Amino acid sequence: MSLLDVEELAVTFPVEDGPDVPAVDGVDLQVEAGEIHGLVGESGSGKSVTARSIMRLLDDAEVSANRFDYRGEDLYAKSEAEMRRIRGDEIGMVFQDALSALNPVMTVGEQIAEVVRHHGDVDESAGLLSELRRKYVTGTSKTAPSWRRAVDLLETVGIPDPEAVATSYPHQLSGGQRQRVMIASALGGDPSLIVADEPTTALDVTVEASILDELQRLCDEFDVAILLITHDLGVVAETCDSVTVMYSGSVMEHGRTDQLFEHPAHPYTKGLLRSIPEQAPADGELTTIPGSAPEPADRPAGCPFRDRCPAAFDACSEPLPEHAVEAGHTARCHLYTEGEGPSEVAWDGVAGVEGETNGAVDDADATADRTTATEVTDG
Amino acid sequence: MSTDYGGHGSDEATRVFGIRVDRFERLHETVTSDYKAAFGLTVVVAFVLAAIFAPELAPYDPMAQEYAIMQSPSLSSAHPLGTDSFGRDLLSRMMHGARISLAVGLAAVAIAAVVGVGLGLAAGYYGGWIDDALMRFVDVLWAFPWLLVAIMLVAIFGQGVWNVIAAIAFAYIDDFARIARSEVLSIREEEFVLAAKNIGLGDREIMLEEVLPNAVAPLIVQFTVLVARAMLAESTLSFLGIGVKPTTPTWGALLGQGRSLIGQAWWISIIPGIAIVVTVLGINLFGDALRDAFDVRGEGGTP
Repeated sequence: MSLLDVEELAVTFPVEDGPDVPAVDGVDLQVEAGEIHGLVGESGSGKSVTARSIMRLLDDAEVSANRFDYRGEDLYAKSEAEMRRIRGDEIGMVFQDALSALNPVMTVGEQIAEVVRHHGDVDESAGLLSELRRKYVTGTSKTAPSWRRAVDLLETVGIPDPEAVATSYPHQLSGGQRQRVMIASALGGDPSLIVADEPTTALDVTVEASILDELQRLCDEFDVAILLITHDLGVVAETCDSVTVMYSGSVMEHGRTDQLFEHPAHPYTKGLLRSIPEQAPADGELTTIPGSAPEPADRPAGCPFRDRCPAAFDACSEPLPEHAVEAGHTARCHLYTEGEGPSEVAWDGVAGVEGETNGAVDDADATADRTTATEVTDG
Repeated sequence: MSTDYGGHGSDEATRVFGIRVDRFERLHETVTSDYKAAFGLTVVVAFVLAAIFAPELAPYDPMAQEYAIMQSPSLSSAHPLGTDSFGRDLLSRMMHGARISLAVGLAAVAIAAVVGVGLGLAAGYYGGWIDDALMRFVDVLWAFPWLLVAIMLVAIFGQGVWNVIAAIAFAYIDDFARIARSEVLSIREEEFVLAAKNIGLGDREIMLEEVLPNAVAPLIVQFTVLVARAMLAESTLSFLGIGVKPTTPTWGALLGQGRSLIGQAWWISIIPGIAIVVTVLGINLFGDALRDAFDVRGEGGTP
């Protein structure tokens, strides 16, 4: 049983005058206990909305799913009180911009200690009155178990001199330290799953690497699963055990990281892999996927990637099928539906990192490849 | 956290404004580096001390009449600020009057703050029809002339300190509600509110524990400004004769009694007048210093 098992998630934002916006439409997501699962997609692909739907904090959206199970129990069948316990206690959240996600007028120790009191194993009252007394009058006692646990957590996430940092305000810390504080705060309730929404996007590369190392270490040490939302395939390759690729509100491909990187099946995934700078040859040009992602409101029927896909053909306007590429690796693409569509030959235009076309990724070739694909489609 | 950070005046402020004790280090910095803040703090401390220890410090009984030295000017006798038309010691009456001013000012504004901030928080945080309903109610409060409310309360219940407090509190609810609401409207969109939901806090906890501490700086300034205004309002009511009981010494009543004698004995009205002006100014400057001390994001500085 997966720790988190979501099937056919659809999230729609109603718009007062105008058509509703289907931000997410048909997302399957499985996160196993103790693994780091990457959720990759470009801006607007619905990955953050998917993440927030796990916390059940999309107040103004309509959420539906065939299955939305956490530890085998339907999250959307839970009462609000049960949900409040699960948030923090079972599922922690790390935000992209730690500066705005931390309360500016409270010391970071205070904020972590609060999570510990609400969810951790300390015998301290977290009632409204005692919390208000702490917030406005006394502060958390430096000898209280929750404060000591907060300092321990800061040390755990690799902050030097945690006592001093605990008494600092967020704006006094560096970006990397703030992100570590966020992670410490997410760990405060000892959760089984941490949803990390682009935790390193706002950081520079060296800090990013150390934060990712930290996440991997915590994943092993605390046996916590991490759903890592990112747009950076490099991050996925370094960090994740398995990965789900999203495009325009739908899942395109899903599998173990090594499977997906070695045998990408979906044209979109291939395109993504081809546009990683490190994958491009030293003398060649960096390729991009032509066009841009459709707005949720005017997404084409069937495969949302159809209009940009060099291998698109008639069947692509049909609802997406699910194709098992190998064990644990699925792609949702009509190319694999038997008896239909072009043969593998038409794939040259979107060949990924296997190396077939890596030497010839200049513009002319790419255009030629696309022409080939179009011809095949037309024929 | 048990370190003693300040003198008596700052201790008083801790309880009154509910400020975290560690903020007093910052207040200390502000006061020592800014002469306006130092002046404000001095005035507030002197005023509060005079009010609290009036019975011990006042040289005379404020009600004792001495017909031999009626309307005696300052320093002309054993009475430092002179005497009024009944020969009562003006300094003693001023000190006892400070008690009324302080009590009325603090109580009225505290009540208005609790009610107003509560309404504004709920209106701003929930939005929608709750916002509309609460803020229209606040509009009605605002539209009602407070002087009329005071006259009405006195007409129904008679003169008394609590009626004065009620009338003034009634008038200031809308100020707090509007400021709290406008602050909350922007704060509730901040990501740390979402983060607070993500650690499982409920609406009430988020409003009081996460949002309100971020809105507190402008509310403190408003609090001090309104304490000063409430003292003026109390003086107004006493001056008009609908304040606390006429024989009770208050600054407004002293001013009012001296008015008819301004030609012969100017000090009877001028001295309470100066006291009101200096105290109101001091409280306002002190409020600015408090705001600077409280706002951890700000760079300090003067408004």
